[in-house]
Amino acid sequence: MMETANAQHSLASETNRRNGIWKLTFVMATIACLWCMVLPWYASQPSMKEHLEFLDDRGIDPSAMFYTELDAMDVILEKIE
Amino acid sequence: MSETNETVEIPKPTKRISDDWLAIICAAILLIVSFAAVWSAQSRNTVESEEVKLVSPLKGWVAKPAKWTQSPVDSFVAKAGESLNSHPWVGVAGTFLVLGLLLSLARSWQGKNGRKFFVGFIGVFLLATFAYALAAHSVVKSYNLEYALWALGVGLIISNTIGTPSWLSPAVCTEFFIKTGLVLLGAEVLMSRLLALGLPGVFVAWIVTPIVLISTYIFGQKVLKMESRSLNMVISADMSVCGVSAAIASAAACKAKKEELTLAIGMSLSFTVLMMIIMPVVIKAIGLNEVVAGAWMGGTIDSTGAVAVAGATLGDKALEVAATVKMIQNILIGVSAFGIATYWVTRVEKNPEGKRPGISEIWKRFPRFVLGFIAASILFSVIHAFMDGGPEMVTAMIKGSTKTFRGWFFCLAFVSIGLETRFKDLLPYFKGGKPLVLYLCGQTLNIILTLIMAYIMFGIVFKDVIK
Repeated sequence: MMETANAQHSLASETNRRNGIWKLTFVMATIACLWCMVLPWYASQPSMKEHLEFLDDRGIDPSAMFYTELDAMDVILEKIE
Repeated sequence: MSETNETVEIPKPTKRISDDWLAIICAAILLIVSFAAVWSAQSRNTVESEEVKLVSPLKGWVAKPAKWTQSPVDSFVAKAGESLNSHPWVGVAGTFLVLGLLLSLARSWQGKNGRKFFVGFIGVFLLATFAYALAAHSVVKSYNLEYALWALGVGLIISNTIGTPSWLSPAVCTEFFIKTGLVLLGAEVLMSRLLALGLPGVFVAWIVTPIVLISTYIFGQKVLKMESRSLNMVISADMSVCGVSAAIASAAACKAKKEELTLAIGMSLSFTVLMMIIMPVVIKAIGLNEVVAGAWMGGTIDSTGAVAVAGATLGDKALEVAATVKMIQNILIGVSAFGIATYWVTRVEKNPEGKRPGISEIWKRFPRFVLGFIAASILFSVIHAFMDGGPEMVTAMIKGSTKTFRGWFFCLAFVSIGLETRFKDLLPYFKGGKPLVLYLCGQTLNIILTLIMAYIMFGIVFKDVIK
């Protein structure tokens, strides 16, 4: 009885592990596809390209968490101070 | 039985250093080394020429993956022909070595297994690097999808698919990473910049913001009757102060659960993207003055980067005012973290008898890292304001290394949160939609009050002063 329960348990954990690996592979493939194909293509579209250049020209990092991460702030502070 | 003859050895109580003190020490070491590096560079510059712009010698040796658009390789390798430390991979490797060695030694000193920590740190750092590379794509950046989101995502993917490997666990130290990162952030909170826009800036950023924070918290407790006070506080702080950074500081100050921080950040980032796109459109439609509009957006949109994008969409003047108001609001982080920590230890965490704790009890409970955060802020504010060459040295130190170290600590913290969280742990927090209602009501109040204050200050009272 005990042996059967142990065997079932190890079989279940092995199935879980395999499922986990498949899930991880699927997610990683999706990420690779999105980041290496879709996003570069989208970035090369004229409107997006123009928007990215607009941000670069002004030293704006839209993902800045704090003012010290914003290059545009240097120019603004120089002007104010 | 043999047990009867054995003497039971009572282990001697060892006084292990707490995470808070260890975080302060690690951050202090990084700050001292970073400042010393800039100091030495300044001395050399003064001898050579006074015109040379001060740059930290650590710049380039401490880095994160760079922005990329077409190939992820660009995130790590610079164009050919440039010096070694211009390649981001060199800076990433340098950061890994510095943090890996420093933190392993710190953990050993704390009585933990430093070697096991280092092995785990390799994995956690690699995941953080991967998250940073995802966040570094220019399109992802343009939508204000900060690294915190991707770091959480990467950790969640691992823990919810194959499960977090046991060898990573010793380096999954969410609180320690957050606290160290916050003390480093303290050096960036320069009080001397508080009056950058004069009184109108202070009124918009420092009068409205605390009113919104406190009102939203009371609304959550009295009207929505939110079960978790800490979730209530973290949402109120991130919505009213400045998004992710305020969420991190307030969550640490009120000892919020990692799921609560995750939820608050998720909501903040989602609404920030919406507000970054919608607010300029609305402002253009109603024809609001550019300066008033800048102050309004600076006071309401959560994230600094999103404020800059929304401001730039309206024009250079709006960008300047919006970014400066946000900067002044950023400085409020220190005061709010201190206020929240004080409120928590004096009012929320009561004694078992229900009595208010005395001074000694308050001191015992007070999170020490908040003191480290405030101390770093005061010290570098004083250096910035009063020391000869202070502004240049502090700026070079922040830009050259401490900002990057702080970013890595937060990124490592979010990867750790993800590694410790199962999706099913997050579900109960969405129950009844109270967090969403709280955010929406608080943000509505924020939008109305900030507009009124921005209009009065920048549109009427100081109209001629602000040009």
